[in-house]
Amino acid sequence: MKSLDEFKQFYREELQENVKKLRKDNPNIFTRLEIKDFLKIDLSTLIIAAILFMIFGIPIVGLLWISKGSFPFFWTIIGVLTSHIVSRGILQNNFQEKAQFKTAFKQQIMGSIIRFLGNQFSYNPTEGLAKEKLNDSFILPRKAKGVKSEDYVSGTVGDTDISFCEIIASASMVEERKVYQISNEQKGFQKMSRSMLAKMRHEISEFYRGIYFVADFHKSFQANVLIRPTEFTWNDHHNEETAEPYKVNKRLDDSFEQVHLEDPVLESTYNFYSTDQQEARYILSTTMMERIKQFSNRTNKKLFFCFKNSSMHLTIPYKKDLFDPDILSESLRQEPDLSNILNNEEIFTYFQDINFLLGIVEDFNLNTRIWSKT
Amino acid sequence: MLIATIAVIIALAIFIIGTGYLVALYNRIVRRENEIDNAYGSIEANLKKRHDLIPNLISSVKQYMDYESDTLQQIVELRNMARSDDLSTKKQEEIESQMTQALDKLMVQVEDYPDLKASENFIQLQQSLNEVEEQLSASRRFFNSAVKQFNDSIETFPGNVIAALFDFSSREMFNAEVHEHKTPDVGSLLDN
Repeated sequence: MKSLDEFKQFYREELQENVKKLRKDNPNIFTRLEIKDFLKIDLSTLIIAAILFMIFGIPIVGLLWISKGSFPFFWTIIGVLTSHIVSRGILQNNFQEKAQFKTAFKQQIMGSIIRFLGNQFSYNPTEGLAKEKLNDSFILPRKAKGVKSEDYVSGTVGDTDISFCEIIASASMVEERKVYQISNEQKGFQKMSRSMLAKMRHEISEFYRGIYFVADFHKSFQANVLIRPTEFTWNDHHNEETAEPYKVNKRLDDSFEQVHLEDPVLESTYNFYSTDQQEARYILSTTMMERIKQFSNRTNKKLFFCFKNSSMHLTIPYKKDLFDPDILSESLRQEPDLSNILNNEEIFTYFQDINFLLGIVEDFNLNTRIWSKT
Repeated sequence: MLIATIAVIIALAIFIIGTGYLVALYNRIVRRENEIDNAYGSIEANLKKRHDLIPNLISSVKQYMDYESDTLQQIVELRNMARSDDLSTKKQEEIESQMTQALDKLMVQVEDYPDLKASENFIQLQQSLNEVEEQLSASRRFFNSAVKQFNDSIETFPGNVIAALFDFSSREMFNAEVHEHKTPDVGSLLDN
C-alpha cells in the first residue's frame, strides 16, 4: 500500500506534467458553455421564425410561396433551420470534446494513478462486470433492469486477488412506479405537475450508484451468504430531502434462511441470509463480524455483502463517480468552480479513494492464509 | 334461531383458527428441536474430523519435538477418551475443551521448531486443523442459536402450553467457547 506522501512525490515528479498537458490540450472544456445556452439560441431562432411567419402571412399563403419558390418566406425558414442545425452542431461538438476529455483523463491520469499503486494492477475504463453476474450476486437492493458498469480495476493485494468497478443500476418502470408510489405517498407528489413527475421518474430510475468490489476470500465454502442493510435509502445519491428509507426487497429463493448472529448491534443494522446456517457462522466468525461493524462505521454507508464461490462481494454506494473528472457533471448541473478544477487536492482525492478500496483487503484481513483453502 | 346459527358459526371459526394456530405452533417447535439435532450432528461431524487429524499431526511433529512429549501424550490420551461411546455430553464437552487447550499449547510450542514450522506436511496439517477448529466453533454457535430459539419458543406463551402438553423441555447451550485461529504473535509471547 502506498501512502499519500509517496503519491504527492509521484505527483510532483510525474503526474503534474500530465495534468497540465491535459488541461492545455483541452481549453474548451473549461468554458462556461452549458445546455441552457444552446437552448436559448434555439428558442431565439424559433421566436424569429414565429415573428417572420406572422409578418409574411398565414401558413397556406406561405406554403403557396414555398411551392412557387418565392422569397422571402422560404429563405427565412431555411435560415432558421440552418441556425438551429449550427447551434445543435456546436452543442454536439461540445459534448464530444467533453467525452474525449473524459477518455483522455481516465487513460492518462487514472491509468497513471493505478500504475503507481502497483504494476500488478490493471485498469480498463470501458470494461465492467456483466449484468447477469451482478444480478446473480443478490447484492443489489432490488432486481435491476439495466446495470452499467465501467472502470474495471483488477490485481492482487498481497496474496488476495481483487477486482472492482463502478456500477449504476436502474429499475424497470413497473418497479420504479411502485417504489415511487410507496416512497412519495406522504409527500403529496401525486399533486405535482406532469413535467415534475417525469423528472422524478427519471431520477428514481437510477436507484443505485457505487463501487462493486470482489475479493478472493481466505476460507473455502460452498454456501451463499448475503448481508443486507435493514433499511436502504434507494435514491440517497440524488436528493437527501426526497429520499425515503425502504425495506430491502428480499428477492431470495427458498434456499435462503435468515441467520441470527450474536451481535445485537450488527443485527439491528444488517439482515443476514444464508443457504447453510453453519457455514454462515464459519464465514462470519466473531472477528469477521467485528470487522464488518468497524468497516460500516468507518464508511458510514449502507453496505451490501455477498459471500459466494469462496469470494467476498461488496457494494459501497457513492454519490460521485470515482474515476470521472468533475468538470463533466458539475458544469452541466450547476455553476462550476473553474479555479478549482483539476487542482492538486482533487487529484489526491482520486488516489485516496482508490487506495481506500485496495485497503479493504487489510480491513477484512483477507491476506491471512491459515486455512486450507483449495 | 339465526342468532344461534351465527354463534355456532363464529364458535366453529374460532375453533378452526385456534386449532390451526396451535398446530402451526407445535410444528414450529418441532422444527426448532430438529434444528438443534441437526446442529449437534454437525458438531459431532467436526469433532470426528478433528479426531481423524490428530494421528497424522502427532506423527508429523514427534520426530521434531522430542522435549514436548507430555503435550503429545496428553493429546493422544484425550483423543482416545473422546472416542469412547459411553460418554455423557457434559463429559465429552469437558474432554474436547481440554483437547482444544492442549492443541493450542502444541501450536505455541511449535514456534520453537523452525524446521517443523517450515515442513510442508505440517503446514497442511496445521491449516486443516485451523479449518476444523473454526468449523467446530461455527457449529457450536449454530447449536447455541438453535437452542436459544427453541427455548424461547417453549418458555413463552402460548408455546409453554404446547411444551407442557407434549413434554418439550429446555435444552442446554454449549459453554461459550469462541475459538478462532490467528497467526501466532510470537513477539507478544516473548514480552511476557
